[in-house]
Amino acid sequence: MQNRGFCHLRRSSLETKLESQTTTFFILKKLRYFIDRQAGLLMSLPALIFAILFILYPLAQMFYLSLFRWNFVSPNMFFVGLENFARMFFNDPVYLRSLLNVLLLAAQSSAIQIPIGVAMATIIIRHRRVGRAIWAIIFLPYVISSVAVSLIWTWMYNPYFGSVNGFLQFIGLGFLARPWLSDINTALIAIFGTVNWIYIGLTTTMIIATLRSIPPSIFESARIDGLSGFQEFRKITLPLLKELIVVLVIIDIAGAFKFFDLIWVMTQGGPSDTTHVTTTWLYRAAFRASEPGYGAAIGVTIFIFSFVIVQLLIKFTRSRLTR
Amino acid sequence: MRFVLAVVLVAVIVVAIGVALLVGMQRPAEKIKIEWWDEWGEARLKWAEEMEAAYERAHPDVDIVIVEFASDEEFKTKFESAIAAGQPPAVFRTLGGGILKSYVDGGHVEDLTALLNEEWAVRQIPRTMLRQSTWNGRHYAVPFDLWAGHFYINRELFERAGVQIPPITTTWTWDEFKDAIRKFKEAGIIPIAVGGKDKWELSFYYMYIVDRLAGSDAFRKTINRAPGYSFTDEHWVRAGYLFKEIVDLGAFQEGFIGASYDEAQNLFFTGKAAMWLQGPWILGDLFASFPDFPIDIINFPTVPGGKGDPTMLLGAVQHHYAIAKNIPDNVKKVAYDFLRFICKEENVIRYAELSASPLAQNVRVPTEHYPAVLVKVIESTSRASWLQMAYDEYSPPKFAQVHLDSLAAVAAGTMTPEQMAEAQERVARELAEQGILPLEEV
Repeated sequence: MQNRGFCHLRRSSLETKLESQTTTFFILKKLRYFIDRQAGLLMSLPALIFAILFILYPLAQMFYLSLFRWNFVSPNMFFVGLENFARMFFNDPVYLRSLLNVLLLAAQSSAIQIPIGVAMATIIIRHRRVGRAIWAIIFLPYVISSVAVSLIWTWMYNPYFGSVNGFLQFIGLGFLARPWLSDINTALIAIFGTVNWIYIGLTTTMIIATLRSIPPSIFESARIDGLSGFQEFRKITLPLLKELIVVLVIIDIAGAFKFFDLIWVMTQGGPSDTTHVTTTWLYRAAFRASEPGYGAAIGVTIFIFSFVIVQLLIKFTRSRLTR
Repeated sequence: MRFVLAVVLVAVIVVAIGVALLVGMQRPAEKIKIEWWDEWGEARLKWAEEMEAAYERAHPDVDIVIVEFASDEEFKTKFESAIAAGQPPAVFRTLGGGILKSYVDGGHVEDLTALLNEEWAVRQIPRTMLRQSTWNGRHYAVPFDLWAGHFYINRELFERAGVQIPPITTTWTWDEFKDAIRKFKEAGIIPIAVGGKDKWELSFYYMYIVDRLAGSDAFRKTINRAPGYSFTDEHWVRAGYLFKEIVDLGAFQEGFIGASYDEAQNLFFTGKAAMWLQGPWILGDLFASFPDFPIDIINFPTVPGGKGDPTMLLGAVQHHYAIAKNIPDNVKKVAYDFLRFICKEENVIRYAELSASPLAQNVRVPTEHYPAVLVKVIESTSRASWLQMAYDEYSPPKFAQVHLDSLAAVAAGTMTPEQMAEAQERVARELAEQGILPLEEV
């Protein structure tokens, strides 16, 4: 405990005596001791400066800006207090809708991607050869740039040239064909479809990695004990995956709050503002309607919501996982 | 040993940062750099590059830097960030109107009144073309070209569906228009292509209908809060219903609300849709891919009981160039000189040739340099009683957003025309309280 610093100094008592006799030496020793103790801080200084400059400062700026009405270019900023926040919750149905959409996005991502991911992972692990091909195919979308994916799907959903309606007609479900992204009842679902298409590969991969880390002997002994396939899944696989599932849910929620590019490219929040998430609505308010104050206020709420939710989940995970 | 290592490491980092800062600050005496920002597009970029080369040849101490943006949106975002950071581009393009006004009010745009009163400018630049960039008698930008909104049509599809093409010098009635829509539908042709995702295309219809109904004063007076004018006036609501009428008639392609400009363009260029309400900027792309396209233009129809002059056109001065106010004096001096240079007659003619757009300057372009349909556009524009600037460009951004969003909602059926009228009136009042409206005395 005495040697908390970076470097360990060994001194004999004689040495110590000699040192303390000369003041210069004493100061030097002090300095050396200081540097020694603070070396950790000094060395993290570059990273710290970076974090303050590019994370803390913009964050503070956002909180500050959220209290003003401004148009980016005017020299006058009007202090309006919490007006921006009041407007958001009492006078802006699109904002509330965008919040709902974020929650829907997070919920459906977890509810759809995780079960399918577990199923896929089980299949892939069981059937090695076919599995590898399946794995490669479902992981592929995740590697493509999301703007490219969005454009591909926009054209696939197109009512005139799109392959989605073409496919539906081909399999005799022509009555389902519709302008997916233009219909206020289906636009959000269509976007969710694309989201799941992208991320199922990643979810599956993470589950495979976890399952592979389970020693096969556990499954062998389970089989010897006479557990059926389903029992094995329920009693062994699922409990071992619990931790990962919580992590995946956190990722889905955090991901939903920062989701942007796909929706912006596919619908820009339309039709009729039904597919906005908070980030797209923020962008529209700040940069299209030139109200950076209002945009910043939306940013503040995103920050608070995601912060609180993630904290809650981490707490929950800790208590559950250490039990 | 570890202690020494730590000290050395810290020292190295400090020295490295120091050196980096010194190198960064110590620039050798350089050429004067003029950044020139625009959302160029291929054809106009070619012009800009020619101008750059020619100017740099004559002035070896000047470096013209052309900065290109993919969309108006990107331009606006980057430009406003540059202003906020105190590093505006020396020369930039603007569309005039409410957005330029907000920059002028913020003190970011150089007053070009003196330049525009120079002898050549008085001769070459008609004062009416300065309307979108003049406030309190001061001019802030040099206008270059115009746009006008017409129905661009596919003659072949009109013939196939048996629809008479109304000549450009006359107009057609609302009933004839609706009749044509029905005939196209019967023939299995999409009557009109429109990209509803970007919303401004939808706004074209609304603006035309308002003007046909209530005349060219209606918008300017209402947005500038002239006494007795309100967005809840009957013709604003009625315009919403007339727009809704053609939506319900199926005039637009299926899923038009979520369709992008590119998707609409695709429908029209590939002969699936008969009409597309657009500006002459579509011609560059059209002739690049379909040189023999049976293209023509017709007017927007009149509406029953409308008071508006049917020769009015949607349109405005489009590209202007302006100079930023907060730049070093030596840069500004060159920027002025550069503006004079690109306004030289031969350079303006070259602009017209390359961009294939009607000019806002008094420079005669030999008509053989233009495609026939463009000559028609120019003639039609010169006959127009009034050019109505797009609402979303004329008005403050916040009003523009409410206008576009609620019109898209009317098209989708999630808002009634009455609600749209109220929403517009509400935001106009708000902006008037904040002193942003009126934009000009009316």
